[in-house]
Amino acid sequence: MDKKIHAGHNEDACNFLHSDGNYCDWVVPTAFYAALHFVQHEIFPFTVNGRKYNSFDMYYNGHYKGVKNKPSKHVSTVNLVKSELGDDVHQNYSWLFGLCMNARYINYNIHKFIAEESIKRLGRIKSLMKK
Amino acid sequence: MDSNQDFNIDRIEDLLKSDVDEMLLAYETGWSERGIEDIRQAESRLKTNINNTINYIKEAVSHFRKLDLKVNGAYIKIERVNSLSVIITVPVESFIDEKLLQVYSFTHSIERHSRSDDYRVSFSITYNDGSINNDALLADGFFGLMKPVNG
Repeated sequence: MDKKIHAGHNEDACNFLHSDGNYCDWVVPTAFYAALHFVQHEIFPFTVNGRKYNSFDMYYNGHYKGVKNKPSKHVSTVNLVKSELGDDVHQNYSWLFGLCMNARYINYNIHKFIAEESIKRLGRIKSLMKK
Repeated sequence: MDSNQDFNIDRIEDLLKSDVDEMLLAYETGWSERGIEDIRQAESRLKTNINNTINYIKEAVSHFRKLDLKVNGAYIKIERVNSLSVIITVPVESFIDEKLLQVYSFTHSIERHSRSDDYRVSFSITYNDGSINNDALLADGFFGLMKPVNG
């Protein structure tokens, strides 16, 4: 699936779940994974050290080849968001990332206002995309 | 635990000692089977990396305080000898405070400037409104570092 279509698909799921009102725990991951596909669509194709990467997977496989201490794919995406898309996108993306990845540790106890905030952060990220 | 309870970061090392020992013990289990030849060197590297990470957590917590944001927990996980993850928890009102966004730039700067072949740290932030699941954290390898100040 094309990244932008995938992002929109996840955003639609996010809004659908939010409108129901009973699935705040699912609003967060759908918001985060919509954001992930929006930012990856924005960043790629990406050229670094004279080498062009058409997708994140190509970048991760190529850029970190032979690197002893490579980051996780999620952390690598966060780093690209910071370097290529700037502070505003990075801060909102990192907020969603921390909330999504650690939801298990708060027993998926996502308050309605946190779910609404997640949608707001996704909207902010989307508004900053140029493609 | 009161999720709004603040913490005394100056006491982290004292409070941490047993946690670090437990963390090392957990990590070292099966070490020889994993084929690490120079256990002493790896253990030394690991301890250095844990201490560095604690110092970075202190820097991050100080930054929260500068922004008048409270922290109510910090958890550390050894992903590999040269890679650690940190979760910082805050009260829910701090989590939705716009000032929190500034912290992500600060922790990213720590991550970027400290990274090498021998060390990598990754921070993430979530909220703790009293429903933190310590069993889930521990099951995933995260050890709690900060304890509430009494009185």
